[in-house]
Amino acid sequence: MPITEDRTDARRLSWAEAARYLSTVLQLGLVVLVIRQFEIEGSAFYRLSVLTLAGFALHALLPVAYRLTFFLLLSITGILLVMGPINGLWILGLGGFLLILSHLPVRFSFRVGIVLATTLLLGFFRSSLLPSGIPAPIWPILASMFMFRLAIYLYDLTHGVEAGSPARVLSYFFMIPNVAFPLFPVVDYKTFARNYYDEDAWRIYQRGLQWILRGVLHLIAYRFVYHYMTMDLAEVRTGPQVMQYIFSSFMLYLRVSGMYHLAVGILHLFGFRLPETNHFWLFCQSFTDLWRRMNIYFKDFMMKLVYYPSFFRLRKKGMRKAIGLALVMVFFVTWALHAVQWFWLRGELLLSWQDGFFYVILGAFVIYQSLKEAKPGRKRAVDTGHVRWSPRRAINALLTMGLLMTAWSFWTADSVDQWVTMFQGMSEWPRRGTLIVAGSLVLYLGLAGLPWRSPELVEKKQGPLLRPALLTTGMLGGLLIAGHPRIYQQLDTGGTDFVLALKENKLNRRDQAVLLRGYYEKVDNQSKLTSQVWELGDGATEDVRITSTAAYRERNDFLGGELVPLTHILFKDTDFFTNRWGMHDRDYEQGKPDSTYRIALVGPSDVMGPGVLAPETFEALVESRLNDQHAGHRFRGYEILNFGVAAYTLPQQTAMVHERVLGFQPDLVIMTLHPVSDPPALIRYLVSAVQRGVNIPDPELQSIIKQAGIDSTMSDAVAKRQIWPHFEAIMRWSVRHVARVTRDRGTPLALMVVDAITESSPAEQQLIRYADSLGLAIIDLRDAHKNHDARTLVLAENDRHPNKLGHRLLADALYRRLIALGDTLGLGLDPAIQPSQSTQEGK
Amino acid sequence: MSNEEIIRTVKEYILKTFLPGEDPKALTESTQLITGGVLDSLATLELVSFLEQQYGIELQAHEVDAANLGTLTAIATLVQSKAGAGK
Repeated sequence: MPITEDRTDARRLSWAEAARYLSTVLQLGLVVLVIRQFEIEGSAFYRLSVLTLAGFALHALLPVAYRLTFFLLLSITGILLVMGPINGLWILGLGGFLLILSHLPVRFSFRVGIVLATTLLLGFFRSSLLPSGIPAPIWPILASMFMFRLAIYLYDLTHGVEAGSPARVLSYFFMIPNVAFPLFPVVDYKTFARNYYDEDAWRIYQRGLQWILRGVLHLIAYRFVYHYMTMDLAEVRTGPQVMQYIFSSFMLYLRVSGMYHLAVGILHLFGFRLPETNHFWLFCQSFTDLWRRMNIYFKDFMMKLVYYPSFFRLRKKGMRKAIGLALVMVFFVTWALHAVQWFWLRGELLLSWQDGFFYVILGAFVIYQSLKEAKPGRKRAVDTGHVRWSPRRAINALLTMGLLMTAWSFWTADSVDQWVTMFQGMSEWPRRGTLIVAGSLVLYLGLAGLPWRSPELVEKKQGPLLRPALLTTGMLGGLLIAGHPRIYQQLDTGGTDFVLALKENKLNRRDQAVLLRGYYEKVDNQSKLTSQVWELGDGATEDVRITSTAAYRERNDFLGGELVPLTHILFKDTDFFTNRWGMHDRDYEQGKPDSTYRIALVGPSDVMGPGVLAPETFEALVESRLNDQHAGHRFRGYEILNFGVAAYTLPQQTAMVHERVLGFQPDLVIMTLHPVSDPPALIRYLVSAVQRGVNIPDPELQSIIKQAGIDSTMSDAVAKRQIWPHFEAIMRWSVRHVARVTRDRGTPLALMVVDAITESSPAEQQLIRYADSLGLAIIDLRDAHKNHDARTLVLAENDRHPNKLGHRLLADALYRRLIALGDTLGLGLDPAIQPSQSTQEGK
Repeated sequence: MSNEEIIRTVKEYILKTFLPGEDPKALTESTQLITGGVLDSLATLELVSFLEQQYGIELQAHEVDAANLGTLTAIATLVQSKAGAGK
């Protein structure tokens, strides 16, 4: 029964209610543990979930009359906790100011004008066209709280809806889950008010928990798609891969669906029985059905503020004309709002023809089907779900989703050229891939033909809460068990990696390449939902790029760039020095001192060591330890020269060895295999080199490029696609060439594998095997961070370079490997010294 | 006209137009018509048109929502208030 009695008196729980209370708290506790274990939406959301648990435990015991105020206080606490006190106060202050403007005692149209003018001014602040001192991180959250909800609120006020108590109004805007989600469902104000404790509280809470669980499952499924299915357009070669690309681009929507389920599930815990945000959106029967299933709140928002008002104004022109024109308005406004939303999230308007074209196509489909459905005399057939499996339903869903996914893949493609070129793959249908596609289609048709009914109609038939509570508890428990290291480490490496991919909140290799690019150049990151990079905010842009500092200079040759000698800058809040040779290292003589074992280490930024002092880099720590423990045994001293430069791919390392490294007479050369050498980054680099017309330094590499058929006149998209199949050959060339050159000098070459706190790739595995076959020593540091929380080893959430601790662990691992390879590499180490202690700061 | 009469008339219209073949007992006074998926946006507009013609009332855009048209009971209340207000 809805709670209506004892509104101010303290409630005494009956035994049954006490059991439900404990059950709900237990389930919520399991949710918090799952959020922590699976790193759901980052550390901010975890902190918020703990607050939600504590808040719910108290809130559920309060008299109803006090709950809304408590919810508001909890929401404010959440904002301050997640955003920090300064940023939190900015959000509360600016938001409060907008609400005051909305209630000014002036004519309503004037009030709306003032709010719009203020919003425009805030827009100037957001884009930094006007200085303001307002911290950048607040904008996405402030916008997600006010951009849509203020419009709804003002619309409702103007049509006679009572604002309600200040607690309700403020709760509506500052509601607790919002601070963790820059993308948030557009909650309707009337629904928010009307559905508050309008049903049995325990049923509301239980549904909330089920939706939170659903959200978690969606986000885990998203990770599967994100890590295992998404592809770079340039690597799509066959028909099945085209299908995979199209399918995976769309399925990244699981992220939005997951977040929205989490958000609304949490609101249920505080009595807000809000409708479902997404409902079996994989089985849309038509483009008009799409609106009933995907991002339902946004659909309701557009219906309320645009569609119905437009229709009612235009209906004198006739029903069908009014519907058509109203829908045109809807899609135009949707496109515009999307651009504005992106502006608040990223600080720049998203006005691309690709975006506009997508909405035109989608709008055209919706309008066509709507007008067809609106034909007079057409027999409406609402799916009542009586037929268990329907072939018509299945085919409708397949056609609708096929068209939608194709349009979606166009919308989210990084390059239209590449998207179009991708379809060349449709002429190739390898057996294995074709069977997988065929099997998937059969499975899909089997599921799509079932009657996926509306949640309201399904729920009415539910009985006691025990069954859903047990099911939710069981599933949460299952997730916790499956995600526990003691369980998944029983699996083989592949299995463990699979669980870790689903468990850890990290970028896939494609986005890492984007992020790494973002460190070194301004990335026009309009990859929207397919990338998580934009969520890292402004950290992955100019202020962390070494290439935009005085310590780096570009070169118009194959090397592309280098560190400038003898510079001293402040970079990532740390002193960054370069010696006279342009190394982030202490000084060395070019001539090797007598009886010195010299190691030359080439690699990208993880070797270079941004964000830590030169003596704190892992190579410096190892150098120090070698000298402390082994100097005097066979060699008087040891040197490790840090030739690391940001973003150096394997081919650039090869060029660096040629140009500079050999001149230092090293006794050992170590090249670094790192995600920056992964296909997207390596290919981008080579295409850029060819387009710049620089001299390709080696005949063998020239031959590979010629085989790929790329030249400086080609577009990016086409060049990347053509060279993609050759990236393995390029990586092999890099290593083989240096091996030959160093071998000629009697110098061993080793390949060091650094994983940058992320997962391995097939390309990496293959190159390691190839290097091994050439007789190279393999220095595998991928387990350097084992048993450590990866988040504690990096400079920041949006900067995956190792911090001091990360470098120390790498140093320990490198030292152990050098000890093991000592005889092979002729290091002359004292066999009595065992690698037991960890490294301290060196040089 | 009473609420019961309005409910009966509207129920008959909805069953005939949007739920052909459905068991009339399945559509109750409290069945969620909009959020329950019985009425999509087009159907809602058709219903609005029916109500306006049947009862000589005029609805506004902001009145087309689940609060006013979400159940048969809500529809009856809306019609009564509109008719009573002389619209």
